[in-house]
Amino acid sequence: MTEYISLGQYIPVESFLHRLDPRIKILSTLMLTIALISADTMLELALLAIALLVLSSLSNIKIAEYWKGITPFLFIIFITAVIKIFLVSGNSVLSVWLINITAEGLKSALNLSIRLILIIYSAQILLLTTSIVSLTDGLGLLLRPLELMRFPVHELVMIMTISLRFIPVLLNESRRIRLAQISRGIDFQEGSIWERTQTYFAILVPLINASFQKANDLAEAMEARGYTAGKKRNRLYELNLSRSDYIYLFIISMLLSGIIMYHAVYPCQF
Amino acid sequence: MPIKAENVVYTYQAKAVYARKALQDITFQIDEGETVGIIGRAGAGKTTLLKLLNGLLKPDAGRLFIDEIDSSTIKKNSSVLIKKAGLVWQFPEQQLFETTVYKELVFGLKSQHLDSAEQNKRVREALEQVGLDYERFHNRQPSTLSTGEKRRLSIACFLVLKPRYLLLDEAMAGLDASGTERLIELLSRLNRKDRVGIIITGHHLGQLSRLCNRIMLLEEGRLLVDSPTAELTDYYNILMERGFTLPVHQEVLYQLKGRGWDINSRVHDAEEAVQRILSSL
Repeated sequence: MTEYISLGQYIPVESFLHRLDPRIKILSTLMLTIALISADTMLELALLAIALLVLSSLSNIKIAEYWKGITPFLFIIFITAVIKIFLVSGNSVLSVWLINITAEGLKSALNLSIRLILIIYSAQILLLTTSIVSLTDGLGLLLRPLELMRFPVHELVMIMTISLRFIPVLLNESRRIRLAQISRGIDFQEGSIWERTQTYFAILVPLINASFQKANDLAEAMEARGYTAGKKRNRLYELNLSRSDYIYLFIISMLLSGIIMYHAVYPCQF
Repeated sequence: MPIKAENVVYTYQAKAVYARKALQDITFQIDEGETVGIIGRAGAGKTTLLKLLNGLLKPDAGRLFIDEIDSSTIKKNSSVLIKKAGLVWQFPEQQLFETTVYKELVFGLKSQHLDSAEQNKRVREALEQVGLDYERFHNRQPSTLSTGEKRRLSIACFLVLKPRYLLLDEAMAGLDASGTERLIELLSRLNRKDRVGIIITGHHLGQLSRLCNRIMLLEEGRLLVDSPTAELTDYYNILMERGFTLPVHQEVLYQLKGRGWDINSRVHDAEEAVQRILSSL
C-alpha cells in the first residue's frame, strides 16, 4: 500500500501548474508572499485574491482541497485577529470597562486575517501541485549558490529527501506492527494509562528496530551503487526551464512589481 | 466449527480514486482441522483473505463466518476473532519486543485475565508445541535467538491464545532449507496433535503441498482453483501457466499418464506414487 500514501498535501493530477519547474513555483510563492505582506489596502488584497484564484484554477484541483489546507490555521488566525482588535488605537466604536474596540482595530484585524489566509492559500498552490521530492530538488538547486561558501547544500537536500521519504514508510511500518500485535492478542485499548503506555512498547521497540535496519540497508544499497558523500555529482534528470516556466515567472513578477510600484506612487496609508 | 465464506468481496480504499478490488466473490468452506495452502501471484489477495479471516478487515459484501461468528457483527479491532484464528504475519520475528521469552509469551495473555498458574501452563505448552525447551529458553532474550528459533517463538506467541486456526502469511519466507523443513514439521504436528487448522499462503507449491491437504489458487482476487492436494494434476495446465510446478511425484504420474499409461495421477505422496508405478509395471 506504500505507493498510495502521499506525503504532505500533494495531489497527483495533470495540470499546467503540476508541469511547472519546482524552482519557478518556489520563487513565485516567495514573490506572492512578499506581495501579500507589502500590500496593505483592501483593494490590493482583493486584486491579489483574484490573481490567486486565477492561478489556482490552473491546478486542476478543487477549491475545497485548498480550503482543507487553510482550516487548521483558522483558529490561530482568529486569535491573532482578536489580539489585533484590542491593540490598535483610534476612534472607539465600543468601550466596555478596560476594553476599547476601535474602527481601525476592526479594519486592521480583518485586513490581517485576509492577508494570512491568502498567504496560506499561495503556499497551497505550491504544496498541492509539487511532490515532496521535486520540492526538495528545486530547493536544492535554488540553494546551490551557497555551495560557493562551502555550505553542504547537496548533503542537506539528501538528508531532507531521505527523511521525508521515510515518513510514509515508517508510518506504514508502525501500522503493520500495530495490526500484527493486535492479531497476537495485544489490546491497545484496555487498561490504565500506565498499562497502555507499556503496551505501546510493543510498537515502539519493533519500529525502532526496523528503522535502524532500514537505515542500514539504505546506506549499504547507496554505497553499493557508488554513492559517496562530498563528491561533485551531476544529475540524472536535469530540470529544464520551458517557455511556460518563464511566462509564469514573468506574470508573477509583474504582479509583485505592480504592488511595489503602487506603494511608490501612493505611500502607505496606515 | 468451520470457516464459511459466501460471496466475499473486499476493496481497498473503496471510495478513493485508488480503489482496488482485492477480493471478488469468494466462496468456500474450510472445516475444522483442515490444512489449506493458498497460492497466487503477489497482489492476488492472499494476505487480504487472511486478514479477513482474522477480523482485521471486514468484507464489503458477502458473508464470512468463523466458528459461527459473523465477522460483520464484531467490533473493529475486537479480539473475538483473534482468539479463534491467529494471524502470523510475514517475518513475525520482527514483532518481538520483550526482554525475555517468557514475558514475550505472557504479554498477549494480559487481556485474557488469567491467573498466573494458568499463564505459566500456557507458556510451557506453547513452547513445547513449537519445540523450544522451556528450561533452556524461557529466560533468554528473544533478540539473541536464531531466525528459526525466533520464528518458532513468534508462532508460540499465537499458540498461548489457543486458537482454533493458525493463519500464516508466507511463513517460509527467509528461512533456510532446514528451517523450512522444521517449520513444516512443526505445523503438521500442531495440526495432527492439537487439531489446529492451518491456513498458509506461499509461492512454493511443492512445500505447501507437503503440509496441506487442500490448495487454493487466487488470481486477481478470484478463487481460480480449490482442490484437494492429491487431485492437483486435474489443474495441471492452469497451474503450469502461472509458474506453479507440481510436486515431483505428481508430475511424474501426470507425464506417464500423458504417454498412454493407464495410471491414476491423483496421489498423496511419493511413497504412494512409487507403489502405483511399481504395480502397473
